[in-house]
Amino acid sequence: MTKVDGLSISIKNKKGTWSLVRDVSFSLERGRTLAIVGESGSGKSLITSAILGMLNHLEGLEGSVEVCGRDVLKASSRELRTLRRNLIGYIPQNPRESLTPTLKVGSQLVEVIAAKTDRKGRECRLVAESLLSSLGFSGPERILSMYPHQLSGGMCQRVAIAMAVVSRPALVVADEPTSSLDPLTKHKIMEVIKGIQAEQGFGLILVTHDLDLAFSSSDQVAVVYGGRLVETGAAEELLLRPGHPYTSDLVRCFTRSGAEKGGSYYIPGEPLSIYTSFPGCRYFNRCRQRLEICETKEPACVRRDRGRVACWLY
Amino acid sequence: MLVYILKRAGFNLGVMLVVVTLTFFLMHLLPGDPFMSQRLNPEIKANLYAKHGLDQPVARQYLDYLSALARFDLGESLKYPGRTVNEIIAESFPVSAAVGILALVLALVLGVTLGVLAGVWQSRWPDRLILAFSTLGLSIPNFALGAGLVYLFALKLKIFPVAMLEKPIDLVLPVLTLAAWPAAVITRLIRTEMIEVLKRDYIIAAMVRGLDPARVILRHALPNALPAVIHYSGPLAATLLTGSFIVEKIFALPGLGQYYITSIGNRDYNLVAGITIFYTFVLLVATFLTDLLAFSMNPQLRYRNGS
Repeated sequence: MTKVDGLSISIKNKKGTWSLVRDVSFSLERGRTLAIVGESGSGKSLITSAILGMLNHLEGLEGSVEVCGRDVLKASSRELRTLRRNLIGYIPQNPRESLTPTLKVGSQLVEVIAAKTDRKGRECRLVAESLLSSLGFSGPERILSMYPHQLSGGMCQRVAIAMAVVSRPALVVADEPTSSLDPLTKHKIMEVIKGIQAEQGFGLILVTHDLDLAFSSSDQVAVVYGGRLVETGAAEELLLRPGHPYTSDLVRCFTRSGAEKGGSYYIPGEPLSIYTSFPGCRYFNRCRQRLEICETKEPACVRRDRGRVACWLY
Repeated sequence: MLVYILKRAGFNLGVMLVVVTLTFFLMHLLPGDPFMSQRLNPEIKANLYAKHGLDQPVARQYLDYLSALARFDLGESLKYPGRTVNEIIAESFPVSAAVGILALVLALVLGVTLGVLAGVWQSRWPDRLILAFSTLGLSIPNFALGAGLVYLFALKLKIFPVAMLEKPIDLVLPVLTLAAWPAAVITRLIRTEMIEVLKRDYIIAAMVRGLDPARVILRHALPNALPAVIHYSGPLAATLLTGSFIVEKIFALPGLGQYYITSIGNRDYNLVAGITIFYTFVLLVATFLTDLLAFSMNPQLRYRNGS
């Protein structure tokens, strides 16, 4: 069980305080998948970084991120290392860039296995080989003796997945795991991730701007806009009956793009810059259903169906 | 790999030829001649000219020089009668090389260590302290540093001798003097590279995978920060090994560096050309070795060239 409660991230300097992420809360059961979707700059990467404990040194970090009852944000660097070894797996965005170019794949994988499972040399090698064959590599020994640049993006990503799941973690955070892969490889990688999830039963946080991926491979979807979760809910519900105007605009972009006559649907305007302070809803300037109150007061998060939405319409 | 080495050797031979040619003709363009400081009567001078072949046309002298060079004969010194350039180099190079190698090793060890520490603690106090030191190392000229070290450690504290080279301990002050500047340069190079490398995805990923920070720095980051220093240390090695005029003067070391400078003033054509060629040779060998080292550390290069 993963529980994020009231996560806020802000930076302070001489000129003032900027709030980048505000009051993000959600929970994720084991074996379930939550997709965090949002456009570039919406704050989804910051949320991911915070969940992985990468922002623990920041002063403006509030709230809690509990994985199996242990708060990531309050962990010391030693505790954080233990958490990352035992409970949290990480699947990075650029698979090829996520492996050290000067070290052989095998040596890197063995190093991670040794750190995460307390096994020694030869044993790690065997674990590495069996892990790689379970991820669909036909000749694991050969892969282990290669350097990252000799592998394709999809192969590197499977190695990274192996590193993430070797200790059977409770939570796996996948940060845009397929954005740098071609469409065929993308589906294969998602299948691999879902396959191991079915076997190990970890909770999966899938951060993506790819709505297709988000709706097709997750149980819940959380929509981020301007550093806030504007709507969370079951994937199929959001797809069929989006609540927040932003969600419904996104869904329309997604379902109508290209195929239909009249070209693709788009959302007019630009998101507010994080340096702009605005008392109302941050989607106000682009919203088609805005009310007067939207400009002056930020809506609270309220229940809607089985999810939550932050909009004055509800 | 063999093809690469052969190609490289052929190219270096070409470079040598260009350097020999340029040195030879530039030197002969200098006003004055080797015997100008001695007031000789014209007859003796003519004899000396004839003895060393200086009465021949320059083109002829050049060809003679090349043919002797092909037999690794650098000729006789014009200033020190009876001594060949080969002898002078053979005598003085070991002294310069001993000081130079020690200085190189010291500069590398010190520079890489401090650079890594500064890079890891970027903008915090260890970084600021190390940067301050490296600025000192860069800005104090070595004659001042050498004199300062002599004053402090030899005259005041009497730990090390003032000058001369008799026991190994005599090498300490010259090596320190010689190593300070390159150590400062290497510190900065490594610091900059480390700061870049530590931002890379694979370092962040390695940390998030729960590896020990020290391991990540030494095993994942440092090897990727080293190439800049490896490439820099080729020319550096050549410069340090062939001796520094200033350091050899201050500490009265019988090294190659001082011959180089004095031979130019003396118009000792053969010695100038000989030392230049020798320096070029050391430089090309050192660059070649460091390139091989960089090559062997980069799997991407290694595989592209199919070895």
